[in-house]
Amino acid sequence: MSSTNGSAAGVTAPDGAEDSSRNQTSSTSKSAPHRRADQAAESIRRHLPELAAFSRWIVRDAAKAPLHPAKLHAAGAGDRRIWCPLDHALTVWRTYPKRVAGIGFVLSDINVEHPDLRLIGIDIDKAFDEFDAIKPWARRVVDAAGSCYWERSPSGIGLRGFMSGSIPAEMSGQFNDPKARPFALDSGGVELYDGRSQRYLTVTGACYAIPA
Amino acid sequence: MPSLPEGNADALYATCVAVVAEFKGAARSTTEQRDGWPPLPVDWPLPQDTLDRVLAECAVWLDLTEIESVSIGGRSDALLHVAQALCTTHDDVTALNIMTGHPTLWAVALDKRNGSKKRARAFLWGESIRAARKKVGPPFEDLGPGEEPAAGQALDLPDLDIGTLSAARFIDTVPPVQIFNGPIPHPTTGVVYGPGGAGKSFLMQAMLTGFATAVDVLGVPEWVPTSPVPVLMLTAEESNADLHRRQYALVRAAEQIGGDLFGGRTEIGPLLRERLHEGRFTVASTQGMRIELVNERGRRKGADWLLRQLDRGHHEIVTVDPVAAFRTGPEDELQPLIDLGREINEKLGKTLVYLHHTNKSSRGSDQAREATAARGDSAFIDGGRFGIGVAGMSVEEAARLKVEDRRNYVGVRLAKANYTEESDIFWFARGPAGVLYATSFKPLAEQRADLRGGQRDAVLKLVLELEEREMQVSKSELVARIMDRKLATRDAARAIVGDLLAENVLRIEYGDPGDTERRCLPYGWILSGCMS
Repeated sequence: MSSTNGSAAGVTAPDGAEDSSRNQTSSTSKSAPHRRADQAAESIRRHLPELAAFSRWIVRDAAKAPLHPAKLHAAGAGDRRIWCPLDHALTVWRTYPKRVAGIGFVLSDINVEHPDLRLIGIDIDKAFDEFDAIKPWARRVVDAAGSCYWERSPSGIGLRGFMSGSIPAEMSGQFNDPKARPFALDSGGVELYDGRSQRYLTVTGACYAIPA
Repeated sequence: MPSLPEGNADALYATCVAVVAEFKGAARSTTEQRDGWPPLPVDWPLPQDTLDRVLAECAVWLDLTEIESVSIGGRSDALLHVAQALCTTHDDVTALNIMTGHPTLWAVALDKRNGSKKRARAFLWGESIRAARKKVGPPFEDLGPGEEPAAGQALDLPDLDIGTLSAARFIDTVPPVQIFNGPIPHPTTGVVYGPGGAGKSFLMQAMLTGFATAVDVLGVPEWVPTSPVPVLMLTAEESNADLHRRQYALVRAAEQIGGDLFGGRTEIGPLLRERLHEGRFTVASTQGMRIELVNERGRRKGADWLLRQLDRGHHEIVTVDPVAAFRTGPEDELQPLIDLGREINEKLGKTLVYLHHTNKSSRGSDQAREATAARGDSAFIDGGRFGIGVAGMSVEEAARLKVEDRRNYVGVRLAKANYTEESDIFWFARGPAGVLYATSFKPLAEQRADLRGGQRDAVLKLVLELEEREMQVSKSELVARIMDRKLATRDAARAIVGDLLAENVLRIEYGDPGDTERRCLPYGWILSGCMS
């Protein structure tokens, strides 16, 4: 597994990653859900090819509740019957844009099935202030992570990160609780997840390049 | 092909822990400070050496050197002072923040509650602390920086002087004279409420002008005091230009059209101008000045300011318009405002009137002037000694009063009165430049009677005409002819004929059984009675 080179400031943006939440270059003739799906597909295949290869993708509604990809009713993220390949999830998203608001990647037990992956998912809530500038505390977390893929969360004001690494074992107890929120901040929150976390993380593909 | 980037997980984790630790207190302060300021437990079970260590750590932690110089009379006083000093010097620090963020205090709480974080937090913040609050006399937040609660007073309320409080003291002396018998008893605290744009502020400005000048500018003599009263109007919604326009319009209306507006009393204009120049009416816009009489923590930063202004102007009545602009925090916690009003009533003998908005659901309905329509805390309305509802004329009211231009009318009702009677609705019409003046609508029965009066005359003319033509008609035939001539509807015609018969203006004459000509009118025929 190769690592991505860091930037001069020590903050890593994946190769060629741009803040695509602001710089959407897709065709304007397509509907917004189609454009978002295309953007997610392109970005995920480009920056997260390993995750794209897994059949661990789910579709979700606007409230981030996982949906059954065929029947579109609410389902649990731990239910393997609703997991599907990335292409399938994107197709469902494009086909039912009113019901499906996005896709997500399921972490549950991925460390058991793929111990070499050592996937860490990072969720930083409310990382941006009202001027759309990254907050200092969030910047510290981003800087500390080093080489990491960052994208904006569905809300647009949070950050989602994926990287390879290991979280200390003493935190595993909290991560095993799907409702555990290890950290909660006044103006946001930061959560770390790995394969021990029985949950899924939304993926938008809206890459965010950390400014130098 | 790029693969998953290899990040620095250890550094990430350490940073997360550090960042969260820094913000932990702030997170709790935003989620839990809504219950108000948490007093510290009076019987804090800390050994003296632990307490000393906590105080020293606090001093270092927050750069508060004066903590060491505090003379500690007891554990509770010391902790009280520590928290008070920390919180007054750091706006973002709360007592819970201090206690849960402080490792020693947190460790003690955890130990006391067998390691349960939830119960430890309850121990620091919860019921035990709230119960202790009752023992603390002056509110914690009322203490100034560096000011200690007076010994004994902090925990004990002063005893009543029972010997001098006999009711007998009231029977041999003349009670204080009530300044005026208007809608606002004095000194009290009350609320004027109404939907936005209903005319609360303009009405209050006119009302206060009347109070300050003893001139009946609204056309309601019972709202005018016997002598001018100094008043202060504070408004955060109107600019000085708005106030200028309104006051100018008020005086100009009294001067120029006073004859028409005020029943021919042309002396009102000059009198109003003269009395206003005497300077008893202070009107000030506080737009842009964020005066918080009570903030979300229950602190009363603006209260002292208000008391100072009241004292400087010797004002007897002060209005605060609107409540929302003079406070922050949840809307269902308005009791501190009533407490402030009572303090002003009691200590200064002045009246405080809050202007407040009504809730959305009552707008446009007949209920907008009811006390329950006021927004937010019901304790606010219940605590006020009077409540005046102001609202425009609703569609139903306009239909009832037969008013077409309902938007030109404002209704005012004394909906809550502890010392006088609740009133019917006073109606005010908007004159030039929005100036309000009292108007009245005839009761519906009178309006109907007026309408029916013309119809009665027409019906009587019809009866006379029939008599002249020597036509004999029955009662039902007369009703039909009235309808044919479109003099009235069927019901109205029946009612009019019935009334005329009852009043003996018309009468029915019945024919003999053998009279073949009149047999076709078995129920008699109509003859004019008095008229003929």
